[in-house]
Amino acid sequence: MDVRMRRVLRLTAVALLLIVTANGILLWDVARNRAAVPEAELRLSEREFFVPQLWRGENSGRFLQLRYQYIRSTGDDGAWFVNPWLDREKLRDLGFHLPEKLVDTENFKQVPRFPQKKVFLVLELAGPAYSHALAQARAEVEARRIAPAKEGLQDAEEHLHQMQEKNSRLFVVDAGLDAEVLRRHYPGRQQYAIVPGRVHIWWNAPQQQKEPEFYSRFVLERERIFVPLDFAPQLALLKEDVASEEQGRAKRGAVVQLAFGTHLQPWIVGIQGKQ
Amino acid sequence: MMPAGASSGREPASRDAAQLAADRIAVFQQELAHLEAAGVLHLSTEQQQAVDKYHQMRLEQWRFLFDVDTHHQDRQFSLGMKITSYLAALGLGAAIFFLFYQFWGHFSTTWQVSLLFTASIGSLLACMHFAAREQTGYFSQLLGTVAFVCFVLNLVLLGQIFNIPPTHRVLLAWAAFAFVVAYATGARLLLSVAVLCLAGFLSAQIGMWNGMHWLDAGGWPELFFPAAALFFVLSQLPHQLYPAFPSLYRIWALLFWFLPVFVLAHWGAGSFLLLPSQQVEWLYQVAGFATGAGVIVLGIRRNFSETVQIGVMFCTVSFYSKLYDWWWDWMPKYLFFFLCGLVAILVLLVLRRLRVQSVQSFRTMQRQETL
Repeated sequence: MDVRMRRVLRLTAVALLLIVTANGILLWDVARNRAAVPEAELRLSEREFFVPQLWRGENSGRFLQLRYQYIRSTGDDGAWFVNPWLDREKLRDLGFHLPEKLVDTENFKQVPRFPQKKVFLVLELAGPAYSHALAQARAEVEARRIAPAKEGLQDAEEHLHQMQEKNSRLFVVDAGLDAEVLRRHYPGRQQYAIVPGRVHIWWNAPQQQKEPEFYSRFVLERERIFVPLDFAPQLALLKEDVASEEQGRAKRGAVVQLAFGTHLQPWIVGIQGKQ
Repeated sequence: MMPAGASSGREPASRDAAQLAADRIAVFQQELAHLEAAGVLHLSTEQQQAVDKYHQMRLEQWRFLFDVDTHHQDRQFSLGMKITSYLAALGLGAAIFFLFYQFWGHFSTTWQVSLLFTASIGSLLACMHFAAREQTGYFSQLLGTVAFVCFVLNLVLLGQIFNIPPTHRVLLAWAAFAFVVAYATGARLLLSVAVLCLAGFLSAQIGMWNGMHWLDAGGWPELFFPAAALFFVLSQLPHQLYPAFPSLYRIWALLFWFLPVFVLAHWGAGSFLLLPSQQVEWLYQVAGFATGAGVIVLGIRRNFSETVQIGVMFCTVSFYSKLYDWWWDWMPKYLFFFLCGLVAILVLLVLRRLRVQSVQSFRTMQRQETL
């Protein structure tokens, strides 16, 4: 056996070991994630997911994509803003060291820039956040009704209808760096799921004598859930449902049982159509 | 069977080294013919025959061992085959990628995992089979690219099937695989891919150590400096079997240094430094010009042509971007471009002066060695 052959054989062994190890680690992680009792199990209706379009039919994979909302609130000036629970204290807990006032930014960068951070997010299904959003929508309708000009009443009523019938009941209600701590605060495993995600904070350029304004955005690490072949017929019915709705016919709806394992990775346990 | 009279001596250890040696012989023969025609040198018949016989023997030996190109037409064909091999690799890789996505949904989870694993293993074995036997490397490099695509698909699709959140550790796995296959096949394309994956992993890991999400690492140019240092160190390691690899490592090291420096010279907010943006930009402009000059000097001294070219390119682009910052807004456009041209002529004169000095100092050194 010549030198080159020996060298190629050694490198082949290394590459084979790499493939086996990488696959082994992934599959072992999946097995451990699904081995014990699920960390959470949510029953999602057709409002909490949709079937994404993939590559004009050249991707035969099946997925469901989660739909979720942020908590909204109105400020003193009447403007809407999201995630009112994400205040300075919470941001500090998440590791964002924010400048306090304009004087801080004079010796700092003009517009501070924060990297995205890995966090754990709390998803709440049909809980207080959804009830509050419904109450906000009802209050908005009432306020428009009693207003003399009734401007925007139709939009408010449509928004209320959407909240009652179509909008997702899944809300991001909290974030933290420790999943176990979050689970202790939100113990209901049929209502709350702790999922990995990331948070992005950015700032408005500070004005004279005004505190800097910050904005936030959360992204789930895995919003798109793979649907195994076993559930392909049910998924086909879901797609027919969507087509029915687009053509003005009534939807049957569906329920998806989504489990989250010990490593917080989700998988579909079942898909059933509603009667 | 080896040609009769073949001797080992100091033989090239790789095809690239053998091709360089064959090219040197061709250049030598052309120059010898020119010297004879000019009446400067005339070898006796015995000397000419001895040289020709020696060169012929070596060229035949290298053709047997490494399938080197010994004629101009061979080189043209080889270049065409190399380009075609790259296109074939890209095409096959894309075809496999889309083939998987077209049909994977029709299989159960067990079959999906098995097919992905088998494709990775099978394509790797096919690549290594050719790597062990093929002299030219066209098919082994092509299959090496296919094997890499299969391995990427393997891990990406497993992640999608089991809803695993994306992680930067796959970049390390891909980098390791690409390095192994690149060193088995001598494929420069795969080495570049390996370098990119490793740089991505390093920047992501260092970013995570600083508390950021790994996907955000690309937005912080300073995270690529460790990769630049690493690849520069790798370029200094001996690579007798792979004479083209050190140059590639140097190119990537310089790119991972100069591109972030250029970005930060114009975007101070992208830095980790706790300084006002303008100060950061000034700092990186100075650092960029200083290291650019240093890189040019290093490249000239160590005969690294790609190093000199990248250094010159960076300094030139940086300088013109400064001219743009200073003059574009208020200067008439004709005057701006005229001054740019004048500056370029000035640089040309300076480089010419440096070249003359370099030649003079080289001749002085040669005379001293002779004495």
